[in-house]
Amino acid sequence: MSGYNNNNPPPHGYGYGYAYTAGSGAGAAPPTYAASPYGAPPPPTASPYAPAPSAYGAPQPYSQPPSRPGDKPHKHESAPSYHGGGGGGGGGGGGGGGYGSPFAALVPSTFPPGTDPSVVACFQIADQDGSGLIDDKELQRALSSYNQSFSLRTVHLLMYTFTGTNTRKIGPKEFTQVFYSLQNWRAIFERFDRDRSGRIDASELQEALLSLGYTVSPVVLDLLVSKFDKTGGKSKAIEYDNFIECCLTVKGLTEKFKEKDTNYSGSANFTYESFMLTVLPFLIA
Amino acid sequence: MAGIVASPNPTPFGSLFPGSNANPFASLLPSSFPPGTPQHIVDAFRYSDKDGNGFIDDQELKAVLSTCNHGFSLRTIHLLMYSFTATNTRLMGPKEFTQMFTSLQQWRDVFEKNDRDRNGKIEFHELQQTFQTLGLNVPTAVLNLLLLKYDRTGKSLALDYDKFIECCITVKGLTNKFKENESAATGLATFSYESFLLSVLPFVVA
Repeated sequence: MSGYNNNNPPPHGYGYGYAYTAGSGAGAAPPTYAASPYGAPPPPTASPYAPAPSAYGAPQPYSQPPSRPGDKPHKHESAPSYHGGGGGGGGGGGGGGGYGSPFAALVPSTFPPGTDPSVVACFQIADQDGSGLIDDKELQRALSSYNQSFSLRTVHLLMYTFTGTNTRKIGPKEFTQVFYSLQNWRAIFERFDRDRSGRIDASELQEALLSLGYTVSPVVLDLLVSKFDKTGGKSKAIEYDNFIECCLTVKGLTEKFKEKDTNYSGSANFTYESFMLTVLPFLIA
Repeated sequence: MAGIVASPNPTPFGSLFPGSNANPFASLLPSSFPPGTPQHIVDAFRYSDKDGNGFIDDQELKAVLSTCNHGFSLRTIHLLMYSFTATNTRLMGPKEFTQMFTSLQQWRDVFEKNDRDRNGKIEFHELQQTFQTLGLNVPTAVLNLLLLKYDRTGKSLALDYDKFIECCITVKGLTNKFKENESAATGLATFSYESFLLSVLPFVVA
């Protein structure tokens, strides 16, 4: 029993979703992550961000292995990450090595070859001042629909994810990455918003995080929901933009924690400086 | 919960609980003004409690603090509340309010003392010294990271009062979390995955 079933949290509650068996076999094979890449814009309401055809594998910002085989999405076909796309992106959305690469900033940002024309069109629509770059406000405007605004903080987090910097402007290449990322987020959100309330509550969040490979305790779940709930804890549920932010935050912090937990023991040691340097980047204004 | 209002004779419950913010039972019992609370703090509480329910919520606190010609972001308000209630509920009773009020007076003094050029902002080079005044020994690499975080425009870092408070609470709060888990022998702090998330998330997502 190789224990890759992410639905059974490991016995000692380790929490990374590795699900390795307690004694032996921990080194058996690399953990499989449900492909997480960061998905789609919010549910379409005649917006230019209707999901692009799923021919493009979604980007894998953290270079993780692809989705586990045989795991089919429940409801949506617009979940490109689960299709053959496989590691590093079937259709060229991958932009390999571009994430946080120090050289990315040296080369002009352009659309990768074969980019879906609808993505290019979206870029042009969003780039209202025609500057050739999309700034955070333009992106926010493009993502906000008539009934829901998209938080600027989430926009910043997305930009940070795909540029590795605090820049507030992105070019075509990063935009493409954000676009595909949002497609996947949309798919994930819709997949886990089981009661179709438009919000994710604690139990739905638990399942969503589990599918991304993260097992968090009920205490942490409650904390996440209360912190990300726009109504200040009244509805006890998270809306779409905060859901993205929540997942990216959990993901980011977990990855950082894991860097320090080289034994997979479930605990990590920090010096004061490394602790502060680990956490502070997440305090994105 | 009507009736939780400061009275000239505070209930004896307050005296049963040490001022420690870590007491998990503090939130079960009515919060009251400690004996000897200055009247102006009591008045400030009553003034802030616009809906008269005996608690100050985040909006009430933001409204009150923002009148003194320094705007306060909701994020800073939440950080303040977390610091002084050690919970994630965004409500403060008289006791926590008093502690926060006193601290804010101290923060303000520190701010003014360190704002040497009196421009209403603390510059980066003033920040390191400010932290030291607050008993925080912040490594240079961390200061540089704070600079990156707060300075998006590329101009030199300057924190207005609101950002100053936010920055100080965050740095102080995280430092305290580190210390709680620090081993005196090694100087390293050990966190489990869960305690790491629980310690860090309230500051990351105020």
